Amino acid sequence: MQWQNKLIKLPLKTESGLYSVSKVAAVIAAIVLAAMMMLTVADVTGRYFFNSPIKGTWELIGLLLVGAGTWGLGYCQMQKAHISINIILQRFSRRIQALMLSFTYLVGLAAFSLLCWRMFMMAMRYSSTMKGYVTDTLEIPYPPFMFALSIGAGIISLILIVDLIRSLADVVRK
Amino acid sequence: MSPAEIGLIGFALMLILILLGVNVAFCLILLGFTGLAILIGTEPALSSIAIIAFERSTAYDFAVAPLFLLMSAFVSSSEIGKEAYEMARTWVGQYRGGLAMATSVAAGLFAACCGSSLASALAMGKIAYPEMKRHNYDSKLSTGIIAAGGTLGILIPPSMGFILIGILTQMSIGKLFIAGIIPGIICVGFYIVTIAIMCRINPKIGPASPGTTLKQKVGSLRLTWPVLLLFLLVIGGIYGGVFTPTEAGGIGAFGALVISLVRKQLDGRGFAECLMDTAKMSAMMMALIIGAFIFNQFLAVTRIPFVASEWVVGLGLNRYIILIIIIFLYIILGMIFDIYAILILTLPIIFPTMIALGFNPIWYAVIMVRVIEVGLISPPFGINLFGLAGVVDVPMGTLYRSVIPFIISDILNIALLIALPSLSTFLPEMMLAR
Repeated sequence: MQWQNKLIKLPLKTESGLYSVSKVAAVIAAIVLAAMMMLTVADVTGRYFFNSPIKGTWELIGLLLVGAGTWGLGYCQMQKAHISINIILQRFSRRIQALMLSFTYLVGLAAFSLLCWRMFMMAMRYSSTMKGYVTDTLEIPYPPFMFALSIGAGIISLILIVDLIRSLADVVRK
Repeated sequence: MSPAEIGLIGFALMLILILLGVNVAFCLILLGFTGLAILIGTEPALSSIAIIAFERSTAYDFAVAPLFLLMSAFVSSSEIGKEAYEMARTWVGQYRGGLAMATSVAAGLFAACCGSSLASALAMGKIAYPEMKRHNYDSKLSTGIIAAGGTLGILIPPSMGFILIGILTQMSIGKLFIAGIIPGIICVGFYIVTIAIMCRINPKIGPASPGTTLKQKVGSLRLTWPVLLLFLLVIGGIYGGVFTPTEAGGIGAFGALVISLVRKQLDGRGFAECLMDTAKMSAMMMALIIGAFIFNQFLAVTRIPFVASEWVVGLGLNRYIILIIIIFLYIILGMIFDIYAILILTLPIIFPTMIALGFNPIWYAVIMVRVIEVGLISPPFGINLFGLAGVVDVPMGTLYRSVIPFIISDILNIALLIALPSLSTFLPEMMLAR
């Protein structure tokens, strides 16, 4: 009996686990965002008041943007904050709406899993063959940030799988 | 099939899917990729989406979006909007329709720290609507000016609309910001005149409040000056070339944070909420931007933007007739779509056409933002009206009627901006920096 119980609880556990992962990623994105704010302020004050700008701020801001912009993707999907137009959708029955939602999630899943996979490939290729692929001033290697983007796209893909299963269940449900 | 045909099918499919409620960013990425795969082969298409995504998500210039979103979040969760309203009310409250005029001024001030029109409309709905109701203002006047005033959010810098236009067309975001200042002030003026005319026709809709003394008037500035100072610092810094728009975003966000913290309007929890909210909004913008660039890459391969602009120019019509057709198109799109979706879908095709017709790009960007905003408050679908309906307790029908005088005022306002392009281009041309 016990293993059956566990089997029933497994999807729910996986789902809440994924939600926590995605939330943690968004918290990291939020911290990175605060860091970007502080970095620009420090750079500008350093430049104008102490005559010593922070070296390579432009590069750092660009690289940090990967975290701030893409690690919140999953959280954004959890909260359904991505833009969609639903003036026509509202007019249909619940079942058709669920069907269209499933389609939306499928499109999103295809889009982001492709991105996740190819970013990962690109990162692998650059980290193995092109050791010298670094930023101009600070010479920070690019590949870790490619992995970061791949992770951001991967997290939203996982959340979309959960959403897809839920909406398909809605279609089938009486 | 020729590339142009594939492009047109892709574009039509895109519109249909979005209308059916499929998420805009998801569509852009997947359709852009599929189109590229058909035209240049699957393997090159897979490589190029990864390259585009990485290039765009590490571009320094795009960091301007999350930083100004953060500034808007801090401003929205503090009392800055309320203080701006209190100040405007002390100055003009004693006139007929004064509270409504104060709403338009406060909306303008709020817009100077906030880059989204719906956020501005919601903030004013929460602050100004109860006050106007308490002073027996007719909801036909009060809700109309709140909805219309919100549109200032995206016209007066900082503006998410101009940021997106700048990113998509490689125009200077700084210049676009500066270009919005004079049209924004003119817009506030038009709303005030509209309110004055409405109250002259029917004085009952906006009774005057008791007058205030000069001392009270000057006193009211006490709360608002830090915000004005922040605006001058952020926008003045961009204007003078002291810092880039991205740096201005960081400084603006930091300044708004300090102002709210010093006044104890924001605690640790509020701070964390603002950050999380901005992480979410930034992800939304980033998904849209990556999608827009992938889809644009596809359109560029089909040569549709080039073919379309050549075709329109080849028609030999007066360029102002084409402009008017495009304006109507934008108003209709504004009634259905969200401003970001409209900009992403139309810019790659319409923008090169307008440039080929010899219009000033900055001026055209201002007109476009203004026109889409009119669509956003136009019945029956205007997104801002639906948002506002959740904050004020009036039926949709009243909201629809209430915005009509302001839409008429907006149309006259747009006509003025078209007739006098220098209103939009004078300040950016004077700018010291790029």
